[in-house]
Amino acid sequence: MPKTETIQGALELPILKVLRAGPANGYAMAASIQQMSDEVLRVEAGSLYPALHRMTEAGLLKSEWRKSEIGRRARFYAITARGRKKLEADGKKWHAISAAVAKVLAVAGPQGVGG
Amino acid sequence: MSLWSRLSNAFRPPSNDEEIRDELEFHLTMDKELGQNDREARLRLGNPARIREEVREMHSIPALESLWSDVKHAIRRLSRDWQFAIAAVLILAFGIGVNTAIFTVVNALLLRPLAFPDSHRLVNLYQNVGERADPAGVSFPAYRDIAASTDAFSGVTAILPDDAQYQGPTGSQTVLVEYATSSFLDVLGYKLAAGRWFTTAEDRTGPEGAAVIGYRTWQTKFASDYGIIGQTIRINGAPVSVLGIGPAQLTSATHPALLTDFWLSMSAIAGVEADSFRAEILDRRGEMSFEVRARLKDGISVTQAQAAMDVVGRRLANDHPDTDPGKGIAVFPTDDVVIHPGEGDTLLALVTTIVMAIVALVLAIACSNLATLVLVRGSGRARELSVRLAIGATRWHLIRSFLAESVLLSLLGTAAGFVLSTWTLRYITALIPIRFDIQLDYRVLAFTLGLALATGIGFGLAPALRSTRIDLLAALRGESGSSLSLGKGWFTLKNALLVGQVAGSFFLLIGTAFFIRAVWSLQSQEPGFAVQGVALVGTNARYAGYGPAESQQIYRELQRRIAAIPGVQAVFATSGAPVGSSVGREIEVGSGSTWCSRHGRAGQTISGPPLSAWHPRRPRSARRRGPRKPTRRVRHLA
Repeated sequence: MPKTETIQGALELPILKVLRAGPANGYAMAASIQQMSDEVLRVEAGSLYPALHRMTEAGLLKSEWRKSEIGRRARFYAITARGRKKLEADGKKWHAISAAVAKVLAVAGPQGVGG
Repeated sequence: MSLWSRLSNAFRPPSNDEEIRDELEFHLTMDKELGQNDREARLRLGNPARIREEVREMHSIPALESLWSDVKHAIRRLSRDWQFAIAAVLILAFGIGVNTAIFTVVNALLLRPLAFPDSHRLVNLYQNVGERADPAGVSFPAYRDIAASTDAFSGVTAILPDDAQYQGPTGSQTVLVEYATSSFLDVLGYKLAAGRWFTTAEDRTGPEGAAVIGYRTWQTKFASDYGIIGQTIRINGAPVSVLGIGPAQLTSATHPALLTDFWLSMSAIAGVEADSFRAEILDRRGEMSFEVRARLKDGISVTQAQAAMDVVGRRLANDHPDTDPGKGIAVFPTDDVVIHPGEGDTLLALVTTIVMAIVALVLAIACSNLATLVLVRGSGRARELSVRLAIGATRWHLIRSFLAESVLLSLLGTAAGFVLSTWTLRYITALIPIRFDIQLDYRVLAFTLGLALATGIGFGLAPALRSTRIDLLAALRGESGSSLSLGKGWFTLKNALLVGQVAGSFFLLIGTAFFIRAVWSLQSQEPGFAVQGVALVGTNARYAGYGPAESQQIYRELQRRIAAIPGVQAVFATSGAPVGSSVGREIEVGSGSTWCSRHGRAGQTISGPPLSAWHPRRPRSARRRGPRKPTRRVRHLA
């Protein structure tokens, strides 16, 4: 799955971050990620649900069916211990990488980013 | 997820498929709750089937699951298109089945070498190699000289194959025998299953004939009963005592496909062959009928053995100038000889090449037939393919489904071909009265399966690759449902196939015509006497245990009774019918009314009218009145 691999980090970390605050269903997660990123990260259902299942399988999340705020049953996801560990480690890595990338872009000047 | 649950998920619709559906449904509901209209919400969600599929693929082994569904689809498509499927399977079945059977027979009869233990140390010896005189085997006296005068070999054995009549409890039956010397087992490297082999005393005329029963014959004819050892059986009416049971691994010492029923001692020849020219063969230098095999002594090469044989050959030519014209004795490694070195194997190579070429041509025609079918079908499916492409199938999906069909067809065809080839083999072996040891050649079956797969895949893939590149819109509108839209390349490929098929079929047809013509002209050949209306009855009173005097009585009585049958004009008895099955007899027609065997003994008309009764100058109508009796071919009538 080379295509999803590239978004994986960008999607997995926000999911883990959102779930650290408490269990949530897929829709709520998508909404809060969008909100927290000032509408920059738009989470498509097509990538969200496969990612949730993949992460559940990897043991980063667990899920259960519960009543939602609108009264309908929905699947709620919660972060596991392994998920917390992953968030911590990958979060640090992400910061380091994005800082490094930002630095490089700053040095390269405006022409490097194309204006 | 464990491998097991992944595996089991692969073969059933995943149970959490429902959950994913509910989950996505919930997502949609939430979107709508929060003010989106239905259309917009659905657009934002994307294709739920795709999402479900993606999730499902995570929970199973995708390749396996899709393989299974590919196979299921292939079965469904083929059963919908059953005419095509049956045609393709039949083509494959004939191509594979018949060719496998024919190749198996050719291989068993002509190509497979005899496999003796340590056969690289075995050599065959031939007298008079190069002379056009027939089987340049070795005469028995020459064999004795070779065995006595050389130290190049650790052992030498002489073998004489023949067919004979075995008088069993259920009547007389044709069996294969091999006369063999006492050295036979040691030279070839076998051990008996039970009992003992012949001794040197039994290598000469005199003592009572002895027999060793072939292992398979012992199992079938004698129900694996050890009690047979020590008993006396009758072969060609002559009593021979059973000494033992032959090696389990050895079916025949003369040909790999034959099943030798009995090995007989040289001392048995006089009795068993009493009626034939072979009775005194052990003493005749001119009868070079024995197959002589020798095992090289350690450290002796074939070249050294040949040098030793040159010495013996010169001495033989010197001592017996009338029977050995000095052609010497040739040494051939047993592994290098299929039937006979020189002429025999050259002819064999020619025949084999022709048969193989025909087999290959038939196979090629079958393959190109299949290719055309698959091609035409593939091009006719452009519309179906473009629909599938439009609803989201990837090219790889389509190619995979084509492949699944091709492989399925090839496997079905091979299965049918396997059945057909076993039938064909059974039919071919049933045509031959002698028992043959022919097993289906699985390597050939594998080869033809490979060829079928290659054809199916090659010609299944070509249209798949091509069709998936077609113009979607045009194809959807039905404008390119036919092969016409598939471009010029198609025509050339199809034409090439067509031309190839026509050329191949034409070639085969001409070949067949020649064969038929040859057979027909053989049949219409004037033998010099009237064959129409003549019936041949073969029998031998001696096989039933009668003595010479009684036999004469029986033949006379037989003649009298046959003559009494209404419509029979003339009856006569003979020890050897002209142009019969007897080996090595020549007949002389025109100059007189006798025929001579090459061995100097005239075939004797025992009684009845002279041979002129067979002469063609008799009125046709008279001949036609003779009854046609079933003709049984037996070598000796009296």
